[in-house]
Amino acid sequence: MVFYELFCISRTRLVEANLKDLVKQTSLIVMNKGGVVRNLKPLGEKQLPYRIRKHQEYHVQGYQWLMQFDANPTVVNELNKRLKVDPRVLRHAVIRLGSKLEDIVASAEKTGTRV
Amino acid sequence: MLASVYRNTAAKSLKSLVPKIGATSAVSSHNLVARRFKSDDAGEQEESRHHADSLLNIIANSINSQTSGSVANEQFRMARGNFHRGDIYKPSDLNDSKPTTYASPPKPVDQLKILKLNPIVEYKNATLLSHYITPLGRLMSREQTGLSAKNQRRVTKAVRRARAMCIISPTAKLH
Repeated sequence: MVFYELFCISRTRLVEANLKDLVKQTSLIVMNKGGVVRNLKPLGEKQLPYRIRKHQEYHVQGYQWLMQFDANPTVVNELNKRLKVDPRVLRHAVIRLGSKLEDIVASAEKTGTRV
Repeated sequence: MLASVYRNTAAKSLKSLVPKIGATSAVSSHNLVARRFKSDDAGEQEESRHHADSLLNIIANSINSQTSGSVANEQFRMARGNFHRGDIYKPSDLNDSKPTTYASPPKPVDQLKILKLNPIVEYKNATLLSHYITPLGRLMSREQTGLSAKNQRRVTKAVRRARAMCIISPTAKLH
């Protein structure tokens, strides 16, 4: 298993149930394939540094959240496919953090995982 | 010789400023269905934020001293033959019969190496990355940042990733 991190910017003004559903669905993609979701973090609704055009709309604000998980690389492909199509998602990136838990935790503590 | 002394003291002073953080587990699994987004214990967050603030201050001060103000930089500027606008000189400085004293410029200190930060993992950290871009949002050169070649490459990668992910503006320094 490799440690990954999904950084996602979703639409603002989503109904809470809708946002929860989005997060739940993304987590289930990982879990159904035998992965483990380690951490789910809300990073808040923010003014984007530049205008984004996605799903035939312009966006100036976004809701950022983070999901850290262990999974196979095949799962990551599946995740990307689904998120690309989802109308609630503006930007997404799956970043590989590393293979050792200690390194990741130490780094996160040092900087307070600020955004 | 002098330059190396200043390099070592600069490195030591950075090291002494880094606060010692106790090792605690920050990663745990969550029950998805029942749980809303909840933040950590308030006390832990406050403490980690203080640490983060002090680290960012260290980095900011270090970058400022690379360009001007540190003692080693002053030595280099004051060496005979190095004339700069606004300097005050004495007549003996213009005397070419005396041999010029060449002071080497101070060796830059890599802050990320000393603080043991991996910039690639910190791609989300707009505040940290903002130290390595100009006010117009362009990446600083290695001369300006003082990073090692390896860390400069990593910072570049992190900044470009952050720009693509709409964390940093490509045309301005916002944080």
